[in-house]
Amino acid sequence: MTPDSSAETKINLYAPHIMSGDSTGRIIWTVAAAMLPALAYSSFIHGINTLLLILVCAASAVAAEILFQLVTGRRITAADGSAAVTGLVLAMTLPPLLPLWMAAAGSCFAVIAAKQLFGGLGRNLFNPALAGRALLFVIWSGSMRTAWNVTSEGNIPAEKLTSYGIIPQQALDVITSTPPGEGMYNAATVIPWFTESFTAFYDFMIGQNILKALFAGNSGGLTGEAAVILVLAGGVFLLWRGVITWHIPFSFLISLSFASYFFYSFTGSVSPGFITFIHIISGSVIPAAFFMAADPVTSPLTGRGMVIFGTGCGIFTFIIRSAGFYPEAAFWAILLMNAAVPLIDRITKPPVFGLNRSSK
Amino acid sequence: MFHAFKGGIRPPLRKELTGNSSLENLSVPQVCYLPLKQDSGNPAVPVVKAGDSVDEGELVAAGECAGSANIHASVPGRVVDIAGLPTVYGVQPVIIIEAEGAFGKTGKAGNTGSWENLSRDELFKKVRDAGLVRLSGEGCACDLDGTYRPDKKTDTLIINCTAVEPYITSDEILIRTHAEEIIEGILIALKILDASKAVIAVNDRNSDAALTIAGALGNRRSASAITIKKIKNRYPAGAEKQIVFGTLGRVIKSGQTAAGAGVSVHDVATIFALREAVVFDKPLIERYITVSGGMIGIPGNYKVRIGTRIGDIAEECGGLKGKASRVIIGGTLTGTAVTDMNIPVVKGTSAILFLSDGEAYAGESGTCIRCGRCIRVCPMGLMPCRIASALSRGDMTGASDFHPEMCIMCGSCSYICPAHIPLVHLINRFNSKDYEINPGPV
Repeated sequence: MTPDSSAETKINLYAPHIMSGDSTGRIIWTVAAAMLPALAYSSFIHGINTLLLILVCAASAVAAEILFQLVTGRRITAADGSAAVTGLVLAMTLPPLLPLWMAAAGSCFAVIAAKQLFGGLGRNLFNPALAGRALLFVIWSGSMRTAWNVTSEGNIPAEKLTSYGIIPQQALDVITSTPPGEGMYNAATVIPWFTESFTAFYDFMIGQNILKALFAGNSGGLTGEAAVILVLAGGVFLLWRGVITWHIPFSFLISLSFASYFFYSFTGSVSPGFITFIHIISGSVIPAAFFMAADPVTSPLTGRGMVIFGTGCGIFTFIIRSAGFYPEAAFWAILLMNAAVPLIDRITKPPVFGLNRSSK
Repeated sequence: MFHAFKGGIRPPLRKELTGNSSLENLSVPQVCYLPLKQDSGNPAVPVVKAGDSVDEGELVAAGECAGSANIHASVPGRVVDIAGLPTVYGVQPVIIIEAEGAFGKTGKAGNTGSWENLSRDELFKKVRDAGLVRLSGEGCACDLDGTYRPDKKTDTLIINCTAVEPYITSDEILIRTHAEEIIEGILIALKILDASKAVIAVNDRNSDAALTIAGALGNRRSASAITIKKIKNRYPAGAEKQIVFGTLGRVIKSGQTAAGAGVSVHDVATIFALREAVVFDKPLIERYITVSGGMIGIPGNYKVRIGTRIGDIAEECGGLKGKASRVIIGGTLTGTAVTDMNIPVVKGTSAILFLSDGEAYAGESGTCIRCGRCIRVCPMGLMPCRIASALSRGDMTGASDFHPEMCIMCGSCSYICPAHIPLVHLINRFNSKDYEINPGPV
């Protein structure tokens, strides 16, 4: 037996004799509960395949964990909910019409390779769900980029765009082939095409209710970004319950806003504030900030460390989006910063109260 | 100027069980058990032997040196034996006295001579002779905590009136009922310490206590050296380093004692006993304790003789309502769980708690999910989870990089840990070198 497995079964009879009512299980199930409204709404607007996708992700994650623990003779820990939550988070990051078997494969990879092989709950370096998504993306990038619902209002319908007549064919291809918002925050590629009539483009976007669509959820996009407002509500719920702290989501969103606003201001964009806003509310940034970056296992321990981590996530999100033309940059940014967590933890030890500097 | 220490927790205080009780006397025990070690110093040396007759309040064991206190007979009677018995400080020699004869001193005022005319040395001798120790926490030091030393200058006396320990209400009730006496005790302590001012640290949620003290201060002309300071209601606001920072903004450095920082910190019960020792020449043979918890028949605050067995106390307090999930001597966050109901009350016993299943936590511990709560609540700025994970790998050097030696054992980290990892216990094991004697997993 490893030292840890004996610790797990030991009854604690030492002081303190009272405990806060909090437990690991409660924390994890609270996260699951916070995701449910957004996922339910997503199922409602995207249809039965999305509901099945969510269920398959959660079920296959739990099954994979149980199977792995049976095979390796470990304690079955599915009841703590962490595998189920990994599945749900993965579902959030997938296109709503993705074939179910792909989702199941990603889920199994997330739980086994990215979590259990690292030693199980609490020991994984990378966010398991995002690792699962990364694998799916590199193997089946076709499906991962096209299995969208094209909805009437939010997606930018090609015929309407062409009717403006001022939009070059390349820009049209970029905008219509990807989820909404993507075309907008890639300044380097798209903005130059609109320089002569950016206002027209802006008006068009407003006219198409892009903001309303992003908030209300009928904009297409990933399962988890069906309705930004519901995702945000889940995040606020987690903050209120004390499951996550403000450090990571706020520093993430603020750094992304700053980076985006300054970049567009200095590159001569007409409306940097508007594009910044699109940056924040589209491309899964909100779910990433509250449900993926703020995952305690794969983020730093201290408040200062969390702010560094969140800021890094925001800045990398912007760099990847603007230089690399990829909307769900937030996921990659988080994986990048996950790798930096041991280093961040090392440099952000809190000061010990009353400790002499010399005795360090 | 408001200094708040970092971290801390707000456990449910559950003071409603005993908060409105008055101070009741429990009957004196038939048999009294006096352990030789009742404080953090060396065990006292017995000056009686089996068969001797002792009077109430007679010296039965002498403090060996500074830091070790005299012990007096809590009851008059006959020394039956000096035998090794379990106590809250482990199995150790215990003087067993069977009560017989008259209780001469009980209720008598004794010497009521004016202490104002006595010198510091005379006053301090009275305190030493009475066998005074700190009455809460790990008991210790009859010599006013080592602060009474000619070479060390103490400028401020801090009275811990923060009452942030769950269940324990004896200090609050002492203030409510004996504010005048406590003010007098503070003045005596100021004279002994030759300190210029005293600060009474009061919980900012406990306006009753602040008002009572303010009222009592108003009645006294000579009390201008005493001020009241409100402290944020957070455990462990009463811990020495935290209370010194909270009241004065002074940081006690590592390796430094409170005395080294010019401060002496005492709790209300100790000051009350100090006054009795000086004004009445009364040895420390009884104290107030809080008897509480969901399983005790009549929770309350009781005056008990040192050496009374906790089983006898439980019986007199209405018995237990059923099997107690855990019996704790001391507070819920730092106290010791005991199973033997024959363990006697010692000088440092501030409370006996009989917790029900719903109150005491008794579950399994899981694995760390790196939530960082233990770091956020640590009042010393430590990283308990990092220490524990290094220890679970057997990495002693790695653990010491995180300064476990700075731990004050408040228990906040274990309280808050959602995985219920006994963090403070692991750190305590490391600090007490238990891993060297007894290697192996947690």
